[in-house]
Amino acid sequence: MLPLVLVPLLVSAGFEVGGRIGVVFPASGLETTHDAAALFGANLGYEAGLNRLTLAYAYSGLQARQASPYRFDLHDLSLGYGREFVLGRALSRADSYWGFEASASAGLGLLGRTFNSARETGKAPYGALAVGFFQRQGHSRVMVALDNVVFSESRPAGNTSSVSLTYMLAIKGGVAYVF
Amino acid sequence: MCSSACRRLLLVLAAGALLAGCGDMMFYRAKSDYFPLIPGSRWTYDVGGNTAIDSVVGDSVVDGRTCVVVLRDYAPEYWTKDVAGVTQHTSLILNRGGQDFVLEQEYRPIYALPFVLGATWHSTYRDTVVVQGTDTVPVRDSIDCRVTAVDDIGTPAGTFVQCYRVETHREVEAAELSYTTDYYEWLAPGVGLVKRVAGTDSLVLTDYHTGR
Repeated sequence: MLPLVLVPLLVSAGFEVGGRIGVVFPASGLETTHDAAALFGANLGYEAGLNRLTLAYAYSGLQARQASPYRFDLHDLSLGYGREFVLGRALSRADSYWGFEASASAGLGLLGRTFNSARETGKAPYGALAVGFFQRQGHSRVMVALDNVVFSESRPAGNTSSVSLTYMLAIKGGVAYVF
Repeated sequence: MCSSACRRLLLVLAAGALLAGCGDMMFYRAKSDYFPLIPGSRWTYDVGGNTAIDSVVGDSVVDGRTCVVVLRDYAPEYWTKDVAGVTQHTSLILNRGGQDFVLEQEYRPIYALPFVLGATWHSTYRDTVVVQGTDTVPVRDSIDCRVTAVDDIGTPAGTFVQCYRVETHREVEAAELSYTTDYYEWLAPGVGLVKRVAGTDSLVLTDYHTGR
């Protein structure tokens, strides 16, 4: 029953489903002990004209900069808004175009650090600004983007609050099927 | 007049701002140096009413390895540090009949890095040393360590947040030099050792200066 309801909705509403892969580069001091890591993710999008809302999930596992049983797992879930800036269109097809996309998103990172069997977990909210290139052709959409991600952490420290910001850079590419 | 796109952007940013109130400081701990050995650094401790001063004075080469020289109350100690851990050059010397016999001389692992809550590490040194030509002395020096907590620690030098507590059990079996000790240490990000408790003895940081 559910598919009978969902399929017409997806067809008519401009949804898209896709996946993405990339590389995460730690910074803000994290790079002294952690290497860059691969990123894998999936996203669910909704587009209305040139505007897009995206719900995305991604995982990356940062390794230590030495042979070590250490890993920093980063699962993140985000909601973002993007806008497409169309630069060109194919003459033969109206649904084929390409251009740049700028997006802003906010999300929550679910973190885990492991060292052998030891594990500590945490979470950190983040904001991200991304710019990238996209190409749309029929039902398919490909993109390459550069994400600037800032994780924010804060906690009380006596009468004040201790705040820590961590910057990470991600280069990612993705494909999506647009309904 | 804000456009529809602008309103959506503001909504996203507002959601981010709401989320910014939380966080477990895990990134902060992951990128912090819990045992800085920077030349020019200086730590002053209160040790049972007495003052002890540690300072990093420079580099040296001991037993073929480049190490950092730390003066602990003006006595040199030799430390090495890399991303995997911290070692200290250890010499265990037995004096018999006015003659020194080296029972142990090595870089002993002190901390395994990076610190993760619940992490454990262990090292054991074993040897047999012949003393005065006839006496055989078995030597065993072992430590068992565990990261047991993340604490905020108040000291006369200030309050330090996100300190890792490391519990250490050390056993030395080396004739009359044998001993066993248990101690707890708190290491603060960017500062290093801020407190140590061993039985009824304690060491607390009263002042520090980080070198550049």
